[in-house]
Amino acid sequence: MTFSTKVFVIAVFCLFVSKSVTALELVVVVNKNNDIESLTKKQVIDIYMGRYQSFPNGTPAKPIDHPIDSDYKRTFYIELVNLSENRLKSYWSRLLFSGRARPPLETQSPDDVIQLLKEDHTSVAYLPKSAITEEMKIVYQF
Amino acid sequence: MFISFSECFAKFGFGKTLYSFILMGVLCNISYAQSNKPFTVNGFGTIGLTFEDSSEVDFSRTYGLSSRDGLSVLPDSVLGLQGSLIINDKLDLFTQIVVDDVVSQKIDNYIEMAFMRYKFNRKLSLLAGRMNPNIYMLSDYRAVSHAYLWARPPIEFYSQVAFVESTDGLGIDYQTDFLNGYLKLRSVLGKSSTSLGEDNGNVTVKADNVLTLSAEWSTLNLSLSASYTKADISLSDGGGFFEIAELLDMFPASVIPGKSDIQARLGLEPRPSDYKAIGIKYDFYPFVFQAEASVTTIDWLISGNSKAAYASLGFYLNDVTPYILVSHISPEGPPFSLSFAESTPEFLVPSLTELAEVLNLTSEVGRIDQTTFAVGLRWDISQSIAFKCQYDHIRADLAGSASIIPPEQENVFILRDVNLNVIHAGISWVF
Repeated sequence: MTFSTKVFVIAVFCLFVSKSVTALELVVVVNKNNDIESLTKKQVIDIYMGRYQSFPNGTPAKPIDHPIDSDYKRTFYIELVNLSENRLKSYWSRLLFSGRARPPLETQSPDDVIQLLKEDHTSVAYLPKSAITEEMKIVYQF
Repeated sequence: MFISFSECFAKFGFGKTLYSFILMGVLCNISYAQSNKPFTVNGFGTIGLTFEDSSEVDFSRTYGLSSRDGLSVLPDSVLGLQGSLIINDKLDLFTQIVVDDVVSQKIDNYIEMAFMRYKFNRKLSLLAGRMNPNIYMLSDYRAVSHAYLWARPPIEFYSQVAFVESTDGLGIDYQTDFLNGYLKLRSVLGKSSTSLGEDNGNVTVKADNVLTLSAEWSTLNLSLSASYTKADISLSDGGGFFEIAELLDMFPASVIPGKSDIQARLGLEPRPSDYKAIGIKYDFYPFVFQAEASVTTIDWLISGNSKAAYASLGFYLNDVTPYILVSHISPEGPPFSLSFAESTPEFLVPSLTELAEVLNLTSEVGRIDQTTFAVGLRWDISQSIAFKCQYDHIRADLAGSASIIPPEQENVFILRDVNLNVIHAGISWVF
């Protein structure tokens, strides 16, 4: 393999990898009727890690999770708090069984996430940017 | 036969009545729960096999549990079930039942928490019912093995607060952002009662006027905690201590200076006690470090002042986390020694000498001087199931053998060093 061929292969590989990452480019969204316009990363952490059960303006927040072992869930929590799913479960064991907070509602599929977001304007979820519909608005982008 | 709330209140007091109604409210909604998300049921458990090798002493995880000899599945096994009902955005109910190897089989002993919470706003909540005052870092989930690294919380440290952990009363939670972190404050005011069962002479340890202030400040990888707890502790029923107190009554106060004070310190009357604790947990991947230290002050003959601490270091290797742990408790101050007046009539001296021996021994066996060195590993088989194995080497110096690791033979006190090896292998899970 010549040098130029190697460069070409590496370039194609990099393009492929970057496309994969782009495909998982996650954003945090709420129902379009929610008053919240934007959240900081800390505020997303507050809601998803059970620190507060409401948005900063005081209205209830119902975070939604993707199914166990889904790429979306794994990527989201690594990006958000750098925790693997095992360590995340252990973290939630502490909060759940001390009666302090409930973990985000776990869904069966991304379609469930979208459906819940449509039905409940207090819901908050993370989705790939490509899955955003007119009924949602982005409040945080990694 | 129905009983009204007011009758219930008169009979059982505010705390027990309230958490009984909370418990019924939550349980009555189980069928409702299946189709409505506001109600959730969760559970946790540990099935562990524990082996201790001493022919002189038994092993127990904490006060209030049976002590077991040799190989047993009971010392570290726990089952827990909880229900949580969100009534509206402001109000919710929470109940947790924990079944383990408790000596006393009273239902009251199994109800770990049962409280109603009213949220004034996103930062401030009021709790009423039975709750955990959060004295130490792991206090409010110490039965949930899945939530921490070890086979069990360090026994020298966590057994100290067994009697004030489920407090009936009122609590306030406040949470806020503070210094680039998140601050949680909890204050609980109430009382607690723990029955120790027939094996322990039907002793009930009562903690009245419990007041706790606890604070935890955390970032994503660092938690710092501090707490202060005070309570008036007394005994009711048996235990042999009341009989010793009665023996004191056979002698005139003139020959035993401070006689009534000594009687009170045997548990007859509430005596002030307090716990002060600090803790740290630092998660610097792949390492995790956790340590706590506490000072316990209790003006009792049967359990004196003490200092306790532990430190643990774990190392994450993907799904497996090996760890080491050292914990220690030691008594503070000199042991009690009964002295009687020089003018004591000659004929009273032999019986007073015998009584002094009993009292001094009672005081001595309540002084715990114990150290545990432990190594183990946690393997997360899945997100909800973990396997743990742990080896503990426990060194009980002098009278420590009388309490957490009691002698095999009843009424035999081991007043010298005892070494004990404990091996645990178990599965813990949550759902």
